[in-house]
Amino acid sequence: MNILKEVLAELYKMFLGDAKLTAATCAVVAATAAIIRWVPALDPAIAGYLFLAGCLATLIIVTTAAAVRSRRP
Amino acid sequence: MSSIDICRIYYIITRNVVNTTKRLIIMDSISWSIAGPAIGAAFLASVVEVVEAFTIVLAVGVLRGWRPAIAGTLAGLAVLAIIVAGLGPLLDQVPLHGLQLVIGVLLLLFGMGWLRKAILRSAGIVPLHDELAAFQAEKANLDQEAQTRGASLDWIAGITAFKAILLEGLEVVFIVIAVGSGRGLVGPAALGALAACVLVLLVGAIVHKPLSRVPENTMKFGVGVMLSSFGVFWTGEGLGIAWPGQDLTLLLFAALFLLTGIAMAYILGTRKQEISR
Repeated sequence: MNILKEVLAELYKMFLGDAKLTAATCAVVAATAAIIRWVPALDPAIAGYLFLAGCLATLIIVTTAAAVRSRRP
Repeated sequence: MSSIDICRIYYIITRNVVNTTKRLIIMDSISWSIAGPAIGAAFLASVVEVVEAFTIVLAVGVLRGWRPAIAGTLAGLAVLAIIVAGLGPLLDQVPLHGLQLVIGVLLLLFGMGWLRKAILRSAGIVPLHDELAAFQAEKANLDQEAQTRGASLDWIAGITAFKAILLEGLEVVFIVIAVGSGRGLVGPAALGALAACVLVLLVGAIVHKPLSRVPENTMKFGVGVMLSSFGVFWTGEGLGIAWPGQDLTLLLFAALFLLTGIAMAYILGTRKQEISR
């Protein structure tokens, strides 16, 4: 039972360990899906590159926030 | 046969050879552009995880002998094999676009998580993982558990090795399935992981101490870049995006994630030095 708990904790840590990263990534995916669905005139490849830019921005924001948090006393 | 006929036949043969060669080159570049990163990611991630598992198994072996260490390791590998055997057929039932979307998002979460941690470690904000310290901590834990629980030390040692293999192996299993399932590359990715296991075990058997000189953070950085790139690629395909350049786009994504990571590590590291002055 204890081992099962540790396995579940490991799986949680793997994907949901950083709540902000998870929330931001899911928001970017949802926004891209919405753009593809509701703006049919837009080339899906452009939506794809916007998605890539969103992921890179998420990485920059989340990492900077973690660095700032670590400096606080 | 006139000389014109000979020229015509020569032209037809040459044209066919050139076309076939072109097709082969294009096919190879496309399949290798995705198979290479998939096998590389599985290999590097496995080295990182197997080194961590090896440290714990070594602590068990040194403290309690190799019987419980090997028994725990084999039991852990057996459970991992059952998980892979169970998940494989299940994944075949999921529609490709749905699978790509789910796996893509999970890869993004996992890959960007590793990349974020690797950037913070490169910048000196988070301390690097120390295998020697982990080895000493595991030995101390084993001693303490045996004293407080009063159980057989061999049993505790075996369970410790089992947990190490299972928990570290779960990440390897996820990476192999995730990078391989989108294009039927689970087999090659698994081979990459297996090669890493063999390499770490061979080096570990020769050195016989924690592998503290493995550049763990550099490898984690590389794996984070590759998994994040795969994540963007699969999620996009799952959302119905046809990437221009198809599989070769992965290389562009990897280059952008790598540049962003390096730039962030440099900027955050420089800022940290300025603040500490």
